[in-house]
Amino acid sequence: MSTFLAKRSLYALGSLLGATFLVFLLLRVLPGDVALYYLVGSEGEASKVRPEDVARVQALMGLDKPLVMQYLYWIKDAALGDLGESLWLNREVRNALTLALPITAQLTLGGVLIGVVLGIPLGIVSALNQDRPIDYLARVVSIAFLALPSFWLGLLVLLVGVNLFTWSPPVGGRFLLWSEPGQAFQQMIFPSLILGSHLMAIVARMTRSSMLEVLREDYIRTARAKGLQERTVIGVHAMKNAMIPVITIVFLSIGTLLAGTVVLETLFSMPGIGALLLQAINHRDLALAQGLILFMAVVFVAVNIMTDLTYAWLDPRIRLQ
Amino acid sequence: MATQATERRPLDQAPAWLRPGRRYLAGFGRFLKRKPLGAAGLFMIGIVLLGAIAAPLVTLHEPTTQDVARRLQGPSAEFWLGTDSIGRDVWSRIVYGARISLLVGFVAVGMGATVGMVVGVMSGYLGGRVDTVIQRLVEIGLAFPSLLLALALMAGLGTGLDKVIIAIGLAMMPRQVRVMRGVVLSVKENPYVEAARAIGCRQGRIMLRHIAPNVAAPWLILASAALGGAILTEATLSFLGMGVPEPHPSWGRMLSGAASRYVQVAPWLVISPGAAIAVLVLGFNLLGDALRDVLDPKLRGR
Repeated sequence: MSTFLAKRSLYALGSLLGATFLVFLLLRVLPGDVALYYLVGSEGEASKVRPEDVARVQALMGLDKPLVMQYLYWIKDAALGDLGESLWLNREVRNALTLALPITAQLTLGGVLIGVVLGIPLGIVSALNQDRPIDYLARVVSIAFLALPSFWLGLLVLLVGVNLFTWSPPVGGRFLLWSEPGQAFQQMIFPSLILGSHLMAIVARMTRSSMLEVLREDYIRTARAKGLQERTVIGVHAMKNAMIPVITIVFLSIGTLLAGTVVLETLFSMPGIGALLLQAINHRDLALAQGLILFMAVVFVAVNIMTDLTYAWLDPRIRLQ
Repeated sequence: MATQATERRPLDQAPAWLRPGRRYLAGFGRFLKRKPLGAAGLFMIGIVLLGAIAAPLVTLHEPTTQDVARRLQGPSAEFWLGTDSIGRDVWSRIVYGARISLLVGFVAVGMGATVGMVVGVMSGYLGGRVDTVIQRLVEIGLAFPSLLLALALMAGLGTGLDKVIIAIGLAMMPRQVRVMRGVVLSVKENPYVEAARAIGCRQGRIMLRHIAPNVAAPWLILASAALGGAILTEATLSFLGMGVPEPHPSWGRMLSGAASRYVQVAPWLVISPGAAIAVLVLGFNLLGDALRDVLDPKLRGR
């Protein structure tokens, strides 16, 4: 197990290094001179800027050094936990990240919770009623939720809220569940539901197909033949094995949910990492955008490793291979 | 490469409706009957496709014509779905928007899935150092959620319809390569591959004539499943202002900015573009699911 973990982590570190380089390159070819943009903004006149000012800002941002050196400096600092300075926010990137993280974390966790709590029962009901109307209904519901764009669902929530209930979510504030539960709940309930609805669909589909497979196994027939209650057969015997792929797909979806927060945080004006990333890209704030994407990639890769480990832990057959 | 001109391989493994000949239509009918949800998906795609092709015939206005005097009007006989904040006909923009969505979807998936096939076959069949290098590159791509990768690519490439297509195509490649490689790994163990090698076939020929046709079914499934995702990604990028630029009528773009500002006075601006996205993506998802069930049930959950 420990060699498995060590090997897996080493590979992950390698792909992360590659990923950081990719992000770094992508943002360097960002159209427009970043230093110029910083000085004049999007509306100002570029011709009025003195070249020495541009050079000064470039030096400040480290843009005057060769690309490889820039990358090496950045990765060295990042490894030490220093992600540089955001020129747009005038604050350390690490600082901005820690401020935004709790918002995104509670939103994502809310989404996972909703997806799992709704998705698993839906999938089980679907599997137990295979090819009956209720199964069709559940499958259509889940495949429909996969097709509904999250930003549209969000807009519909705003539409109905504003027009029918004169309700709109609290805007812009940084509300945390543990300090301002009421406000935070109002702010995150609908984004979480929308984020979770997508996961619900994925979980329900996986639960259904994995449950159907497990129900055909001999040991389920044995359990029934022993005279166990159907509830025990399904809830204990079948669930134990059927849940393994479901857990995997939940873990793997966390990265997608994290990316989904870009849309929902922007739409509901929540000051989380996703909304911040979009603003950073729009403001050509290299350090901030780089830092946030790196952070998301690290979380994503870490979650993937955890998935492999959980998988190996839940299913001993995997360890033997 | 020497080839016998008359060589024909039977397509026995393919289901009846994929086999050439007269049974094609009958098989297709059976597919529709056995997979009602797939048929429904095909119907949805068909409607959107028809609208996209016949766009000038079913609209009264150009999608880009502005008429500020008649901005934010509700649905009427002249403007079936109302007008937007600068007085453009929403119905026209929906219909012409279908062209953008389908174009982005098909070209991006065509690109991503084709490269995924070629690279996946090479990686899986050749193995060794080629495989190692390709898979390490794939892992870099897989270190990001695909929406995030597309977003970062758009940030680097800048806006433009062509850039959107490239970004979405590139963002889906790592997963395509990974899955195709897995399929190839199991196909290449078949005795006919060994036989081909034994009679001295070159590697290129084996990959092209023996491996590729036998991974075509999973490839088709993978590509059809990717279509809905690609269209959704385009809409999301455009919604975020990082996708298809004005004046192209993109469904996602129609929902960004103006739509959320006028939620109270012009709710019709919000409803129709999202419904259009949902119908098309749902259509592709339903069709993809049905295709998978018919062609290769083993791929379930991939």
